[in-house]
Amino acid sequence: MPLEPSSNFTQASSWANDWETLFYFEVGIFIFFSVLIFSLILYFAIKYRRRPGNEAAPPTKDHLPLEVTWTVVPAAICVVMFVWGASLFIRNGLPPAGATEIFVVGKQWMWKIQYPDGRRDINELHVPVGVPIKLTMASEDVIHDFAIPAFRIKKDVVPGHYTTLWFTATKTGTYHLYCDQYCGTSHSAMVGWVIVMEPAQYAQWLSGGGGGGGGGKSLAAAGADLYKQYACSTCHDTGRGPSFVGVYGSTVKLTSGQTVKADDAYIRESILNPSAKIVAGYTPIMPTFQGQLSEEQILQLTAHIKSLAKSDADGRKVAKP
Amino acid sequence: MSQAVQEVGVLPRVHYLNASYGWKTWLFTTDHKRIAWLYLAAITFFFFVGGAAATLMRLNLIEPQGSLIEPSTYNRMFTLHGLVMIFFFLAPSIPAVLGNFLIPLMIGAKDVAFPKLNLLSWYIFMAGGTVFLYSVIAGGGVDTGWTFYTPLSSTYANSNVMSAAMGVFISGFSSILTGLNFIVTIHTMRAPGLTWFRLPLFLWSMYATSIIFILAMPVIAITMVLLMLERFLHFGFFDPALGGDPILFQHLFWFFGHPEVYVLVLPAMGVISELIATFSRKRVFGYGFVAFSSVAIAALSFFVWGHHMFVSGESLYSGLVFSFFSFAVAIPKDRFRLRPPCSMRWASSVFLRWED
Repeated sequence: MPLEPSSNFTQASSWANDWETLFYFEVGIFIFFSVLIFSLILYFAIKYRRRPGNEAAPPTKDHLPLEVTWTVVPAAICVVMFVWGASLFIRNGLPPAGATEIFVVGKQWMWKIQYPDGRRDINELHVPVGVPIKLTMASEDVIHDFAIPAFRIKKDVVPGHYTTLWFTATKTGTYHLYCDQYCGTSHSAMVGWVIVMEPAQYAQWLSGGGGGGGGGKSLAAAGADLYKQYACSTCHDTGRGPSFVGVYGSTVKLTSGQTVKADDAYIRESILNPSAKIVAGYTPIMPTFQGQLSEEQILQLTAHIKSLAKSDADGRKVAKP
Repeated sequence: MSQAVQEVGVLPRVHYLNASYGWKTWLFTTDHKRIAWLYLAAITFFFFVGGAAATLMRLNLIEPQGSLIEPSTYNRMFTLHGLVMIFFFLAPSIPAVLGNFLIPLMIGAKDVAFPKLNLLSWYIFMAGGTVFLYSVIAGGGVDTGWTFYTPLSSTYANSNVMSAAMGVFISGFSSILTGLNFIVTIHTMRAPGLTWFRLPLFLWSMYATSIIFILAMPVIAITMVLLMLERFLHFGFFDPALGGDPILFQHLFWFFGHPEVYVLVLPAMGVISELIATFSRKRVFGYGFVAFSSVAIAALSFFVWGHHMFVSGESLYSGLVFSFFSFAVAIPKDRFRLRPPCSMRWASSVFLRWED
């Protein structure tokens, strides 16, 4: 841990202040109505206390205008909260197109971070300040949750799914990183640091200047090695299976007549459960790689397939990145 | 009418003047008041079990390193606390104790509709509790958290998940039978002239709670069966390594879990309404609106479960829809919150009295 960590109350992302404004607005509403209701209870209990000559009151009728008022006013407040909250929720749920992608793999009880150029970290996430970052997250065992309180964000990391989380850090420093979903015996020790650096410092760090460790190979290059090692080319480069050139990000036609967008989740599913979605014109002959490839290796293979999308526009020959 | 008058004169074979008090008369009783007492004794016991677990947790937190108990024990303690308090204390507390005691009295009936079924509910509850406690005493407890999230519970946990899940499964049937009993009692056994809108508000809250019992408890029972099948026989429902989906478990669990929240709060709202009505010596202000709100809360509570899954990776759209419904259910809840001061204002004779 390089520096004294900042408090979790620090607002260190572009999202933190917007989130907190809504939070304090809601807290304010709750305090206002709690104080109002409890003071009225106290005041009326004393004012209308039972005294001689006041043993029982005459019956009263329902008061329709009042009933309508306290249906309409809370409803209006709820609409404000909903619209406000929903607009933030949508923003939080849609990463910007140009965001830098970093991969996170959770397992009992550590965080493995992979940068696109092949650098790896354990329990430390290094990011540049002022740049949108998109985390693509997977779990090797149980459900975890990647939470950075100073950024006011968190998202579950679910086995069998990819989840995403994005942010733009606004302040350099070191911040707490927690697992926020109880995940077994050492859950409380599944913690780490988010280190926000100046972009120049970050570039220097990425190129091997400090911290972490790396295989030296980029994700895509490591994926290309796996592609050879697991003999994917036997089918996918010979026409028995669909070629990967230009596939990533495209719309794929399936034998069922449906179409699917070739994204990370689709590629992951096709590796682990190949017969789930068969590309039109091919037969379900691919064996599953469930249990043979780790989530990290799948991320590497995906990066390799992604690199093929850009490399070669004209031919069927697979271009090596 | 004349028949009703005649019946008043006939005493049951056993009544409060000639009842005996041995342990057998308690264990084989079908008297709703005695069954309420049996429940009170049972939940008090469980309250102390859950409380002991919480005490250990808090003691462990006296110092930051937490050196009193191991992390694995600590995890068992908060799981034990959560499961006991939710399933064996809170859920049966007001419905099974005050509900059993008061519903027949408030509607002018001799007992609930099915007295033997009522006793059976208590035995099922005790059987579920015993199986659950077996997991703690003989099996060393369970460390999954009270939500049993998969695949932690179904594949990775090394603790006694099976018997804990079985305990929860069994005790759910107790709540289903109690709910059934209350619904039939309130529908069919009201005294002549006691129409729906003359019922004490506590009965409306018990009615709404009973609806949730018979709709939500079967879901948790099914979920526990699926969990046990996956853990014991490796059926792939929830663990992606077996071809399942962990999010499916969360949908099932919270479809039960959120209505369960209202099982805990609706009876308490009913109690407050009743206290206000009694001590201000009149009907609660806006009675009809409150009565409908109880049922509206019960109905809407089945459409908001996804708000427990906002960060689980559920789609943006389902997040928005569940958020919308969660705000919708807030409106009938506000009707309860604003009720007490207004009831007092128009009551103009409240229980406070001092010599002056």
